[in-house]
Amino acid sequence: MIYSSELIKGTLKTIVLKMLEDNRKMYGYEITQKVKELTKDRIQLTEGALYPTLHALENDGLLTTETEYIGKRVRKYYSLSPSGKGKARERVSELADFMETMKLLLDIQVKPA
Amino acid sequence: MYCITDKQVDYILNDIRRNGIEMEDLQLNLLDHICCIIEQQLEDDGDFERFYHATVRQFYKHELHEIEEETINLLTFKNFYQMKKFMLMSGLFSAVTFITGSFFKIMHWPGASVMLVLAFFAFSLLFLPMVFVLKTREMNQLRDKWILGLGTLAGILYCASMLFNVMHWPGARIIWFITLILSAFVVLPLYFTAGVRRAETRVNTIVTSVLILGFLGVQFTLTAIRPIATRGDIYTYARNELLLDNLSKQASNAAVSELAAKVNAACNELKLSLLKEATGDSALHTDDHTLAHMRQQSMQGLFGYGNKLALLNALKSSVKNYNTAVAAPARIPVANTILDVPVNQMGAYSNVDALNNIVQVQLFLAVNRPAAVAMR
Repeated sequence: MIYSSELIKGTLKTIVLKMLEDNRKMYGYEITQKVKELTKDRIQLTEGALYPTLHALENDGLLTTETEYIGKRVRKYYSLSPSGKGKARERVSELADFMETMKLLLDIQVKPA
Repeated sequence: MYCITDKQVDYILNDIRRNGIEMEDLQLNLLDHICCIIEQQLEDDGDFERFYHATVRQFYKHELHEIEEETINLLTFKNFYQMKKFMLMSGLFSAVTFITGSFFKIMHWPGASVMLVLAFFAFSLLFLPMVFVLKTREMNQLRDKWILGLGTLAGILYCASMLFNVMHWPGARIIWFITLILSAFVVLPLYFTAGVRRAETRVNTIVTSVLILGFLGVQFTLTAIRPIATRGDIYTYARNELLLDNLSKQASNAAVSELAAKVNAACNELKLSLLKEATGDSALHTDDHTLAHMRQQSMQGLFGYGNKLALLNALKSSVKNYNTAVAAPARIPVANTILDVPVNQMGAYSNVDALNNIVQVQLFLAVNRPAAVAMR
């Protein structure tokens, strides 16, 4: 099952920040692949959503970038800035809290592991 | 793994640019991303162009530059909130400064003018334009943007006319009439017809239009009767005129000096001009019926003073000549009359004030007639 884009939209920043927290530096394609792999294809980030978000996070000072030349093309690596690290933890715990609340609100029975 | 050639990299980059991606950062990101996908998924002998177009098609719903638009939206989103905050701050600032400045003005305390000018600039050059910018972002139709733009312009002009009025700067009335015409005959009809067509805005539009129309009507009435007519001033003038008539009848037939006669003639000319303007009749009437129809209005008309200024100047110089020729007690007093105020402050005087001033000059001459006769 692939989740609807509305669900992804609200959590995209958190996903990107978490990916970068765990992997130090990544480029755009790598992030989409990593997310796809970790979620067993269930979350597929679209390019149309990922890159605007990356640029916005960079503009907010949460990400730093470095570029690498690969033949004629340039690859842009993203990593967390000091304030981005704090933000990543904050967003992840906020989302975890939110999920707990949603479980209560929607009366979801959590299947025992 | 497919191996992309430099030529193919150029091809992709050109295609991205042609499809409306203008931010260099975004171009490079997308280029690398597409290259990665092709390298990972296209077979060694696959069709590059077909695969490229199929891949890039998955990036967007309608057109590729959606990605750039979304990026710009996200980048300006933060700005948007700062602007909104600034808009509210400037609105609050101008409201507070305006009220304080008005109060200072009434109390004749120093600093009133500075505050009023500041309030005007904050309101019309920061607050109103920002309302326009922020509101038009939420609008889809060009027509709505135009209406809001013209409305903003009317608001700025309204503030300007009030400021010019309070500061006694010339041109206040012209700005005011442009504001009224623009609001009543351009902005309001456009706003009304646009809003009343849509079911969801119909009631709101009608209510707001009625309120604006009422406001404009009240404002227009205030302008038309300004300065506020006091019948008392008009009747005082009439009694002065009767008094003068009476004194003249009692006077000897001895001819007065040429200087005094000139003052009198200048007085009559200006008086008749003012009376014609106020009653539509250049004859000198003091009956109640004519007086009841007399309009009290500012000396300054919509387009300046007309010929009144030339007549007033003639009177001023004749009085000056007279006063230099006679001894101190017989001099015509002019302090605090229209013969004394500078032209730029004359708008504060009404035609009735002027008539009273003039007839009192004539009364003064009549009372001092023996002196005027003696001068000969």
